[in-house]
Amino acid sequence: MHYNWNWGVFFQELPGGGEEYWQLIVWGIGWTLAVSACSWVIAIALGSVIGTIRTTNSPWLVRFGNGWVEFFRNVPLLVQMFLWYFVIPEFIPPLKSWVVRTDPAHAQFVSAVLCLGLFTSARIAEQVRAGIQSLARGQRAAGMAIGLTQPQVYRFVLLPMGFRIIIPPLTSETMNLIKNSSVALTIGLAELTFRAREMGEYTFNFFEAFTAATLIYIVIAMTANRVMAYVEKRVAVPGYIAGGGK
Amino acid sequence: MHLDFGIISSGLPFLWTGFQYTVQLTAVSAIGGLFFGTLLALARLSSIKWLSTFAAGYVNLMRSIPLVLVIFWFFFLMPLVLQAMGGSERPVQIGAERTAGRASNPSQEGRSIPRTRWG
Repeated sequence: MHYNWNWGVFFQELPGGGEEYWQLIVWGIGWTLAVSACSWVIAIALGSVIGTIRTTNSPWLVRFGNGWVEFFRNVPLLVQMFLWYFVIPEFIPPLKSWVVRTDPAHAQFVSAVLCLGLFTSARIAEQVRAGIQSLARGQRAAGMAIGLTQPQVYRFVLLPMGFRIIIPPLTSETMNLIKNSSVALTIGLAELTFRAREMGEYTFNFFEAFTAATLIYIVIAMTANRVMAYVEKRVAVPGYIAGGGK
Repeated sequence: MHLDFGIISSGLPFLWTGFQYTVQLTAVSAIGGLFFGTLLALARLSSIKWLSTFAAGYVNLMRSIPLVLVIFWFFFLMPLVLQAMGGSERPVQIGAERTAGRASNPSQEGRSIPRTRWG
């Protein structure tokens, strides 16, 4: 196989002049991280609520939670992205007029954050539910027996342990979220994969651009992994679950 | 706004072809994934050091990059790989229309992806 690598391409100027290609990639990293961070907050918040209500003894709350999880998990992420960006504004006139008026990047960002946040919330809800249900039954009963109300049992007994147990799957989900943010390129959001492809199309140095993107994603994934491992170690309860993680 | 749901029924045959492609792609990738996934798992458990290191590295690499990026890699890299494998003069074009699409066309059956198409 023969290919002439040209790493100098990153320091070439864009056709418009002014910026160089490496700056394009750096802007892409910024959007990837911004979308991931914002949707992570939504996903954790909503996922915790939905996951928790699925373990309560109120049938309607459980049904609502189940419906939420089934809907957001069973529709492909790509389809959800199109729904948020192309379809939903059509039904809400004020939103539509905002989308038309504003910088397209803002509309793409908001759509991508909502889409990824809700999509991931369903997956996190499933993990939160599993974490709570994996606790010994006696914990809930003991909480009730010492006179705590149901919200107090969740707040002081079940959730603190449940969240500690699900830190490893939450780590995977965080990494998935960062990777899934690349799907936002389909609605035109200029994140890392978008920029790598764009650079390839301008220069025909696809492999250099994709190599850079691949390495950057590996670094981001490893960093997320390390951070979560640190959190896991910090919050471990001695003697309860194996502290640390790898 | 005005919704025209009639477009769904008139577009069904078109959607049906897309659905068939989804099923084909899912089936082929599931079989391939199971096959190569099993090999990778065996390799990771191997006592041969370089083999288990390679498998672990492959798994970590593939798990840390987005699927979209993997697809782009394959789309741009495969033409060169196939060129090297087949000894073709030019990169071999790939794509749904050129490979999977052609395979279901009887007149093309039994022909590999090959250079003859570009003369």
